[in-house]
Amino acid sequence: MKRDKIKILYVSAEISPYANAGGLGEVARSFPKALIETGNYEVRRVMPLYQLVKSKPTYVTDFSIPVDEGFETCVLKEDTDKGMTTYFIANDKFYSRENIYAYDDDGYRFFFFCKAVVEMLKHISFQPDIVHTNDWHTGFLPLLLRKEFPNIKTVYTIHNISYHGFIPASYLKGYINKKEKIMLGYPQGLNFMKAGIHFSDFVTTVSPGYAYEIQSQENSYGMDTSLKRRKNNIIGILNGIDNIIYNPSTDEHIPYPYDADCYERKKLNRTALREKYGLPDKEIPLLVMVTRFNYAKGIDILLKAISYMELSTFQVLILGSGNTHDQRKYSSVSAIYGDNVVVEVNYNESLARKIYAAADIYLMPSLFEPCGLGQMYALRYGAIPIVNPVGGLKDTVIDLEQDVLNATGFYMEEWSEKALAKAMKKAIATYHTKEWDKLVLNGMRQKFTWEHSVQEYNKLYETLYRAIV
Amino acid sequence: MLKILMVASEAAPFAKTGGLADVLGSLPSELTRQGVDVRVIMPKYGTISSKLREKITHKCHIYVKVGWRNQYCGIEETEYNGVIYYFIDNEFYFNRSDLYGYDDDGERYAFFTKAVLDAIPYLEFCPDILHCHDWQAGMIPVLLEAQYRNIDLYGNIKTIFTIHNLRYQGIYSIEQMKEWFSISDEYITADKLEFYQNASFMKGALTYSNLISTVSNTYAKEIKNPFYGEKMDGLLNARSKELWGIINGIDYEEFNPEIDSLIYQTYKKSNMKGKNENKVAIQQELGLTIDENIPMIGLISRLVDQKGLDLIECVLDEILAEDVQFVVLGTGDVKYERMFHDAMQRFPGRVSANLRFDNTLAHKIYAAADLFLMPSLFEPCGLGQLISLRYGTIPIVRETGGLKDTVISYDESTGEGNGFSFTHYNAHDMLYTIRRAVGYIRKKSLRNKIRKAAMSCDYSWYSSAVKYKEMYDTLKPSSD
Repeated sequence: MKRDKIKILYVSAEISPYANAGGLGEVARSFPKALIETGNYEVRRVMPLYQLVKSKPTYVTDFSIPVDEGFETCVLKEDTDKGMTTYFIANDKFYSRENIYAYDDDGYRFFFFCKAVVEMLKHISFQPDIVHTNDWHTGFLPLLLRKEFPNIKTVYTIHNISYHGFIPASYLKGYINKKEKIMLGYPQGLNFMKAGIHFSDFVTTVSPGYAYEIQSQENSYGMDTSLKRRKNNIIGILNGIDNIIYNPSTDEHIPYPYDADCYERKKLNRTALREKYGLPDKEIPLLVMVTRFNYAKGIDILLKAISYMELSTFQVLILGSGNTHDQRKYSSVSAIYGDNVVVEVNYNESLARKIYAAADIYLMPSLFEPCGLGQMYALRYGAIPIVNPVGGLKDTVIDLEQDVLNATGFYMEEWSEKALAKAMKKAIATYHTKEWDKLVLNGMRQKFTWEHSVQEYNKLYETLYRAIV
Repeated sequence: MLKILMVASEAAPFAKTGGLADVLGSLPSELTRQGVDVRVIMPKYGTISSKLREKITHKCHIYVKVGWRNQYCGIEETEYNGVIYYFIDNEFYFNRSDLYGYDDDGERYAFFTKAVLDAIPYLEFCPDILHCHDWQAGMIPVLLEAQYRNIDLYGNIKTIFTIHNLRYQGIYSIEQMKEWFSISDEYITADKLEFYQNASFMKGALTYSNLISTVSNTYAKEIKNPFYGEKMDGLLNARSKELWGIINGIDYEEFNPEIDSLIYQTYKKSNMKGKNENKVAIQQELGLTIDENIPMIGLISRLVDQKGLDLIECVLDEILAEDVQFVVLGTGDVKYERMFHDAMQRFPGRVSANLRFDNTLAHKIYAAADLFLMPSLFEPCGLGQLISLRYGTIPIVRETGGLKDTVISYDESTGEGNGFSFTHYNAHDMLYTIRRAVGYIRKKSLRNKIRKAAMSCDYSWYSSAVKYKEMYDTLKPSSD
């Protein structure tokens, strides 16, 4: 007997390409798509309608949400793209702004979002079996749903445990008792992240390594007590990448497509990129980094590491994005650290792919990395990653010293400029040996598709679904 | 005669924590010799030595408003090196064991700012230009504009702000700044004092002073670049036309190999035999292998990353693989102190690590060493390379700030240059340059030629003062 598809509402503060600030948006784009492809699910998504959303979603309905003493109107809109419906919560006061985040009232903005999603379910015919929530912005949704839709099961995924949001306890009147209030942070503001961890039916995070790390006190950003209470209901499931979009043999953005059988063609891409940036086309490796200008991504330790190395033995190209000040600051590093160090601040995806295709070595010296996508793109495009083995980086890259046969990259011994310089020197030396080919091929043959991830989520959703039926 | 009142938080010999005090101790007397009426005004700290304190006389006292409080303000004066130094006296704010580092530093220099402006009518000296130094004096141009301009006496006073240290910017909350200075919201905007949700003394100075200067030409250019600009680069760019770079000098009396009583043997440009005697004598004193011919590299520095110590750490063994001696004087990061301490054990007779302050030994090293290493990441002016040039000790520097302006790398093809330099902040480039320098100075004739070029440079305060005068003159009303 053909049974009904499991209905999932995927809730995220960002969904690429509508609005994207980082890894969360990428995952919210590709994971639901992969779920639908299994044929077992009906998935719809919901996010706030920010000013920067370019497509014009259509009106569905409107309703009002109690806010403080009064009401705020919420307009619900929808957009259907490649068979998937995405709902948008529109409200001028909260979302008609230049950026997605980083406002003083983010707590209020996303509490409104949570309330609006619950209200939305009373106005549309789509009634999900499972609501899949993501990161702190959606943290109060499991709690709010529990009261009004007790049959809906909830999953809460932690993409980055270091960002939190807060709301005064008075907003949750009638939803939680005194003990729960204290658990969520009262008498200070109540913590969205804590609420997500406590009140969802299951907690997931984006890699097994990160799931392990965040349960230790020093990496938990204050969430360790909450996580401990849920320790039997937490798993790490590695994100995947979209292997169709990211495929060096069909990628239209790269001038010379290639695959594992003819990966020497990478060099043609390298020559082309070097020409664009005035780097001499020599038999030395091109090291690249695609990053946000952020201390924890390791940009500063990279510059120091460069100052410890012989400039004639390598080239570095950094594609970075950040605020105007940082962009200007880092664009001037060639003058200080060497002409072989080039920083490009005009990020676009097409250029990023050209860079993955041209790179010999991909640098990802992150202080922490819940999952990380760059290293997976790099491996797919035959660039050998040098990583600080934390979170998802440890789960996706195999160090040459740990496993010579299956190695796909290099580990830093610790998060420091010296350790990075050491790993870079080792990688550069290996580049000139026969071992390199094996590393590249091992990497290109890795499968970081959503397949595995979807299988894991399948099990999880099935378990939750069975509990309903 | 042009009348200048310099406003600063420290001046040698009264109070000193850094290079700023040296400038305020030397530049005013040199300017006086060149016919400028320069006076200095600074806080009367509890740390001023009793010998100097005895000579300070009380002129009068006034009361100064800081927020809602009325604070006592003594106005005192003394003469040093032919220059009048005024002091702002308030026991509560300044009679403490250190100059800075207190929770109420902002309020202390807010008081100082108002006190200086209020004291002007009592000095019997009305300056044409208020020359303010570093953030502690940064709000003077702002308050002058906001609250004093319409008073006759202040109507025509011009202001200059000199950046000695861009890193310290006097950043405080908007509420505090408004209270201390009794200024309204209209001054707390992004184009005035507001700085990343706070307010900054230095930003006020950079916005309101008529001219801005810093301590070398190259540094003046570098700080317009965000890498060096400490988030003031945008503003400095906007004020590019009013931004001067004037290199500091050194005291040519104190640092003079011909008469220096702290070194083993005096010498002069025309006869440098004595320099080698200094080398042998210091080898004896520091327990190094005695060898007149072995190249000796000196390093006198705070042992911190900014001074390029991480580059040295990276290639120290390679440097010492050369037949050289390495003499270090200074304190700093424990890891670098340990590194030199270890190197001394590992290379007996070739490395001397002196992990302390020692003025006498500093003079001896300047006199004895062949090469002086200064591979800074950034260096607004730099003092070490100026002293080493004076002593014929050939500097090896990275081309940044004042180092770039004062050291000209030896060029084989023209035979010109007073030292050696490298462009990129890179350990191997530095190593290569050290090897090149060591190679050249092994040839005595070449060594002597570069030494002579070094000793022929003039980095006395005389030349700096000429430049400052030139800057002051541009502010003169054209009708003069």
